[in-house]
Amino acid sequence: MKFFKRDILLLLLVSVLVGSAFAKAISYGANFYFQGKLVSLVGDYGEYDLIVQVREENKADGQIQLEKIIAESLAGAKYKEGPVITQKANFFVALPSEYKNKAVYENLERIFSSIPGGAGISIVTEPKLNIRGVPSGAVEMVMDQLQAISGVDFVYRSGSSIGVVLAGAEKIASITAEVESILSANKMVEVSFPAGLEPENPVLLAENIVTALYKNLQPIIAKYVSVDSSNDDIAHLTSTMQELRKFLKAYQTKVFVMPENNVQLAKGNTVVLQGEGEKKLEIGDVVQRQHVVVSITEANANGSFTGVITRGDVSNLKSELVYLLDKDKITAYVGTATWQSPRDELLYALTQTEKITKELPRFAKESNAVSKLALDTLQSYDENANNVQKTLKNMDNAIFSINSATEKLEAVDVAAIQERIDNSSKAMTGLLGTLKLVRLINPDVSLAIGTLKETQEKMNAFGELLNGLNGVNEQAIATKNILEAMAANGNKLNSSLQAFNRGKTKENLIDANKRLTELANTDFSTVSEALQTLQVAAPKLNDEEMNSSIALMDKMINGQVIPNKRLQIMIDHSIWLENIKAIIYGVVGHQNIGVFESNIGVIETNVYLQAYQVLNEVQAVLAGLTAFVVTLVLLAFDHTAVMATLRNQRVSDSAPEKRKGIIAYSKQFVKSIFYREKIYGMLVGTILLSFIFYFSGAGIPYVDWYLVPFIGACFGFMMALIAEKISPISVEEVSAGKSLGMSFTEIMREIVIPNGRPGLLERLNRRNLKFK
Amino acid sequence: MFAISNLSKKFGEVQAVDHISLAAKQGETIVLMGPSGCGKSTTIRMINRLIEPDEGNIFFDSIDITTLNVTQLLAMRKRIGFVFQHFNLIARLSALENVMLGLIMGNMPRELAYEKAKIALTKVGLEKQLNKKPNVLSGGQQQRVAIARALVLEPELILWDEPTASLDPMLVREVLLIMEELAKYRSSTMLVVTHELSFALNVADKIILMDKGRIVETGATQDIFLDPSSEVGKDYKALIEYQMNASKRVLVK
Repeated sequence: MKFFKRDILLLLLVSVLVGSAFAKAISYGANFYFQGKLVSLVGDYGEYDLIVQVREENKADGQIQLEKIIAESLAGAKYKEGPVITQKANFFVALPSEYKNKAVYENLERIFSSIPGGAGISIVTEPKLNIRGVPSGAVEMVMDQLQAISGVDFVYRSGSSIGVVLAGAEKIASITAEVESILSANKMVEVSFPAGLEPENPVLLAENIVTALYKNLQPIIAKYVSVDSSNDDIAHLTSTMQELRKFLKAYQTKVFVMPENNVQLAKGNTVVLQGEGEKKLEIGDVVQRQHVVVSITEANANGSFTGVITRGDVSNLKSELVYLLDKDKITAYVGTATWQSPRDELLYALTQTEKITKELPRFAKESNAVSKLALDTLQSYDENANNVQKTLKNMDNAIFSINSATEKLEAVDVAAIQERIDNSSKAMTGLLGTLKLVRLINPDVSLAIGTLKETQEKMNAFGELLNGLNGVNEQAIATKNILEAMAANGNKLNSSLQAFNRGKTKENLIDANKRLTELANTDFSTVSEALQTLQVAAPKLNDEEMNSSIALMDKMINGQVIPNKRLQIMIDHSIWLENIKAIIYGVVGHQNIGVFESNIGVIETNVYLQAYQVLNEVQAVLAGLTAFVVTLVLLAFDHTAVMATLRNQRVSDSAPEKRKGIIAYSKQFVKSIFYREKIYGMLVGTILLSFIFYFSGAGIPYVDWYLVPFIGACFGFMMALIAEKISPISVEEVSAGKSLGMSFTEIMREIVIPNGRPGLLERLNRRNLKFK
Repeated sequence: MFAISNLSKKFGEVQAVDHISLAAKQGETIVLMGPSGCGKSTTIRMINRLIEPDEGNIFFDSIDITTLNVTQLLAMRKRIGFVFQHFNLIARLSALENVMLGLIMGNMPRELAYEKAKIALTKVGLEKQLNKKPNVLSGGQQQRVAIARALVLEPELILWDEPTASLDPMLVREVLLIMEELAKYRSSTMLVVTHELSFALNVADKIILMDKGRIVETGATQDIFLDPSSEVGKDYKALIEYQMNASKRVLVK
């Protein structure tokens, strides 16, 4: 058996080599053919730079002009006539290196614009990367970043794509990786609006969103990129028109219609009101030019309807009666209307404002004077209040003094003192008498008599004074009482006076004075002039004209408002989308929008490269399919004989097991998978297909590498099931061989294989035959 | 010379051979007879392990064949010749090559093998058919080639599995003659499975009757057919009498 195993191994080796070579040959042959076709159509990879297409009928003239352009503008360029495809002639142009730059590539349309019947120019320079999907507003930034990559020759803008021309093909992989890195550094957040909910001013909304993003998330970059920043004029014009439209809409007269008698109105209905002219509106009349036509725009909660004047003007309205219009015919009475004209209100406000403005200088001046007077008054008030306070204090002091005095006086026992004084006086009288007698004796006592007399007189005076003192005390007390009453009133007065916040009032007055001074310094004449200008400048459109203007602006804006009805904002890739969404919802005011993120651009696979890649894939697929076929053929022609022999060996020893019932049959089936011939088949199938696949460079879409051995095993298993049908063996001859003492190898070599299908095994076996 | 002991074989639920035992001496010719499906061919094929027995032993020259490994078995098979019912010639080889096959596989030099094969074919009367392929030979000729192939290896034991069953009655005789000659003059032991009563009557040393996988009767030819004890034996006796009577009727006329 071991010799036969060697035979099988050799067979497998040869099978793999032959099978791989065959599969590769088939695939290469096909690839060679298709590649040749492709090259004949589009030139070799990188051979040409441009394909200039010209309508077939202008081919000759186009060619002449092309030569002229090359001679005049692209000296040194070569061209080749290509095939005519879909009625367009193709000319392949190879540019000299000095013309391979951004300036030329971005102006190709202009350079070749004079070619009659020109039908487009394709750039086929290689190696090149195309990047698409970069929003207009981000193109310049991305182009700068791409240009900075080492290995990039130049970068150009081509419509909505960016072309990156490389200096050489050797770095294409690394440059591609760098480009991907640039494109993924930032991301694009798209905000889409459902129909009917588009913002009035998307440019402004986008700017608000960007501002909110910066404020809340602090990104490195956040930028509105839907519109090319190099074309701000369009964006601003659009924005301006939207603001103007908003103004006009607010400026329009609003008519409020209240239907009567259950008349049904709806948005879009047209009604008419009486305008100039004598004849009153009647049902059945055709509406005339002088009447005012109103278009209903919305229904209000209170049952009324709001509309705008589409013909005529609010100044023409002569009646509040409203009639329904069907085309231009009055069909029914609706009800009554009121109206509000913001335009008239504005004009009125301007007029009144101008009046005020004229009076303001005088008012300011007078107010200033009043204010000064008030301040002075306040100053006096202050002083007087202080004086009152002082006076009250003095009164308090006087009351205190009087109190002290009267208390002391009351403490004095005047009667006792008076009595003592009387006694003393009497005593002194007595003494005087005595002394007078003494004087008769001693004239020296005259002095004492004089002093004593004086003293007595003073004492008597004091006594009298004391007598008067009672009266004084009583008066003092009375005076004190009066003073106290006065003080009480004075204190009340003082409290009132002090309660008045003189400081604050003073401050306010000073402040008011300051403002009044400033107001007085205002250039009222300029303001007045400006108001007059505003009055003159206020739109003098009547309602009909305003309505027409709004409709016209709608038409013009719609094309510019939102490209593809979405906003595109570029932001750092690291910012989490959920956080961005929260900000956007907040700015928009609702969540009925779509917010999605995507890359800032995508590297578009080069069509030519793609075509060559497709060819490679086709080659791989062909190799794969060929590998399948070759494996099946090898199994059928070479290995079924072996499998049949193995099977014969197995069954010769036992009768076929017949099982009844699904479970028994299933068990038998599972057991049968491990029969020797099936194991052999699966093993050989796996080896053959895997190696042929590998060596032939096969590759089939959706068939991953790990499936290949499995498929090979399935092929082998399948072949084992039908081995005897493909390579029936002669049981009798095998038995004869056995009976002659021949080994399995000898039986295979001499009996089975020579009788089997012509194939590699049979070929290889010939050298082993004893009987050729 | 060889003996089988308690040999059994079951195919699925069917007990093809049920614990049979027999023995043969050197040079003995044993005929194995019995109704179709009684296990005769299975028995004979188990002797050289063309079919693997489930139970039992097979002794050949005191060697238990059932215990031999592959190499030993192959060597043993070279000592046992086998003649098949359907000749089992190799279709792509000529008559001579068929006969040489066993010799060449045994590493005999080609020239020697050629000579021996030629002699063997001459012995069976096919000296003029040496280079003919089996498909141009008659059944009888093919069987003679098969016999030559078996004999050229000079086996000690020849197994015959109904060698005339596939032949036309007219060709049966030529094969039987060879078989009879071999039985009489060679020293090989022969175990023959056949329905040919004439062969059994002429040359068999021992008759073994089988029925339903068992040996029902064993004995000398006369003992078996003159006084059979088994039903099979009785059937054969009746058949012999019938054939004899029929022959007499035709030939006497």
